[in-house]
This record gives sequence, structure tokens and C-alpha cells, in this order.
Amino acid sequence: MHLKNLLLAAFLITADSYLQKPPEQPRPDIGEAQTSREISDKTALQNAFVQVLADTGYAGGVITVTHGCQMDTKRFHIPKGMRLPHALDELTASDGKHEWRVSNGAVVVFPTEGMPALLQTRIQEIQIQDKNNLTLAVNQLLQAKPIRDEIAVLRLQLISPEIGFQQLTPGDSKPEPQPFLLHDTSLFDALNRIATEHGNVAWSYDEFDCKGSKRLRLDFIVK
Amino acid sequence: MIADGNVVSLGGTVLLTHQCGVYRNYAFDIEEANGTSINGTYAWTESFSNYSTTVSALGPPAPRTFNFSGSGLVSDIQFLGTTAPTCPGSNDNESFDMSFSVTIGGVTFPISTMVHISHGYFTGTPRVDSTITTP
Repeated sequence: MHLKNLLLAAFLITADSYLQKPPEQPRPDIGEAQTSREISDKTALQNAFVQVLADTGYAGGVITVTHGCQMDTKRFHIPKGMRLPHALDELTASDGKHEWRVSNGAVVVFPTEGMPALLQTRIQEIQIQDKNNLTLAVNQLLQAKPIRDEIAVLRLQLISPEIGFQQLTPGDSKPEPQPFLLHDTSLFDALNRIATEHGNVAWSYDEFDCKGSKRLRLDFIVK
Repeated sequence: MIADGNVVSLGGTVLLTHQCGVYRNYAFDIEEANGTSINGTYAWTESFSNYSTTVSALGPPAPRTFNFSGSGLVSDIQFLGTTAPTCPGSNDNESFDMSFSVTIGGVTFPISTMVHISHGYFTGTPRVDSTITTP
């Protein structure tokens, strides 16, 4: 009986993980934006997405769920000067496993099969300490109790973040932190809200089902 | 090395809290071929290759892009850790090569300097090592 219940619970979690897609929202006028560089490369979707979005002024996010240990790479051909919606259509058509949508003002590429369960997890209230400190903002979100609980339920293991580079300005004072309060939000919406508040940045959620363990990397890959 | 502490940038900004692991800060000056520090607005991209780890069979992360303006003085943090109270295992480590490019006005320029990173715990010893190569 216990096993049956566990199996049922596992099925419900799995089914719920991939059923929901981001809510359709009116697209802001992204039709005027154009790609600023030619993309002709065999590369990961995340990298191609970043290049499509570069210099358009739009914030975004990319979600991948990989059944394996390595990021998939595909060949992308997207010309410079292509209108952003067409470039995103080209990007997702070349990839074949993802769609794109605008959500809370952010351009989001997500798996055709739907959003992972963790991104749908809701947080009642969270005060982001500084909307310009994107590394800390993600750290805060991942340490929120509902997110920690869901990570445990889903048996996800967090991959150590690649923090990367920061601008160094010797001798000057640090800019004042700009707190940002989020109410009744999903992790997905929180990331988009932070991205659009900051502007011109992109987050990446990468889930790997690697040799029997599920691993997660969540970072801003454009800061 | 931190047991339940903050990861702090060279500029004094807290980037991660409640972490257990190892990290090291680095400072770089991004320069033109003639040795002058780059100035203006630019995108700095780091890419990863030759990735290996004892933690999992995962491949390298996707490239990261940082939009900077002003001088070419930048800092980098190399961190391997987990959220406390969980700590990395005594032989959890990873190593990889970092290569770089600068994009200015839509034109991308490769950077000749590469950095090999090795960080984490090696039979219980915490280490963060880097080897800089300039072909």
C-alpha cells in the first residue's frame, strides 16, 4: 500500500512537473528589436539565446531539462539584423524542443513539455536585499523555505554556482542596495521580475537527470 | 574556507550567504594589446572547457556574459560549495579552462589569456588554484 501510494505520488509529481506552461501574456512591443550579431555556431541553447537577446535591451530567461549529463548542442543560423520575434522563432525551430514567450516583460525560452515543478513553486513573500546583486538574489530565492522544501521533495541537488566576474571600481563607495519586495509569486515569476527590474540580463535554469541523480544549476548567465 | 559563512567579493559585496566551501577572489585588468586598460562599455564573456569533476558526471556550465562600463578592472570569484549545514565531501572538486572574449559595438574580440582553475577539496585539503596561460 505504501509503495502504491509512493508510486502514485511519484507519478503526480512527474506529471505536474511538465504540464504547466508559462501563462500567455500580451507581448510587449518586441517587434522592433533586432539581433545585433550573426549566430552561426554549434552551441548550447543557452548560449544562442544570450546572443539573440544581446543588445536588444530585453531581459530574459532560459529553461532546459536535460535527460543526461551534458548540455545538448545544436547548430544555429540566425542573421544579424533579424527582428527579435523571428530570431526567437528561428532559435526554437532549430532547437526543436523549446518554445518562447514573453512573461512579466521578460523573454523566456522553455521546454515544449512545460515548466519544471520547482519553477512553479510559490513563495508567499520575500524581500530581495538588492535587485542589482543578482547572485545574492538567486541565493535568497533558493534559500526561501518553500523552495528548499520543494528541492528536497524533488530530490534535486544544487550545483555549486559559477559566480563569475564583477566590475571593480577602486576607491569609490558601494552603491546603496535597492531592496525589492515580492508577494505571492512563483520562482519563475520572481526570476522574471528581478530580471526586468534590473534590465538587460538573463537567467538560466538547467536541470539534469544525470546517472540517476537530478541536478540543478540556477544562475544569471548575463549580468 | 567557510563552514557557514558569506562569499564576499573583492569590492566587499556579499554574494552568497550560509555557504560551506572554498573560494578565492581574483582581480584582472582587461587590456588592449598595447597594454592600456580597456575603457568604455563592453560585454565580457567567459566560456568553459576541459571540465572535469569528482562531484558528478556533469559537463561545463554555459558561457557567462557580464556587461561592464568604465575601466577594465574586474574581479572574479572561484567558489565551490554547498548551502550549510551541508558541506562538500572530502574529495569534491572540479577543474576547467576559462577562455574569454570582449564584445564592443557588436564585434567580438577573443582574449589571448586563458585561465585553468582547479578548486574544491582534495583528499580533505581545501584548495583554489589557478594557472594563467598566455599563448
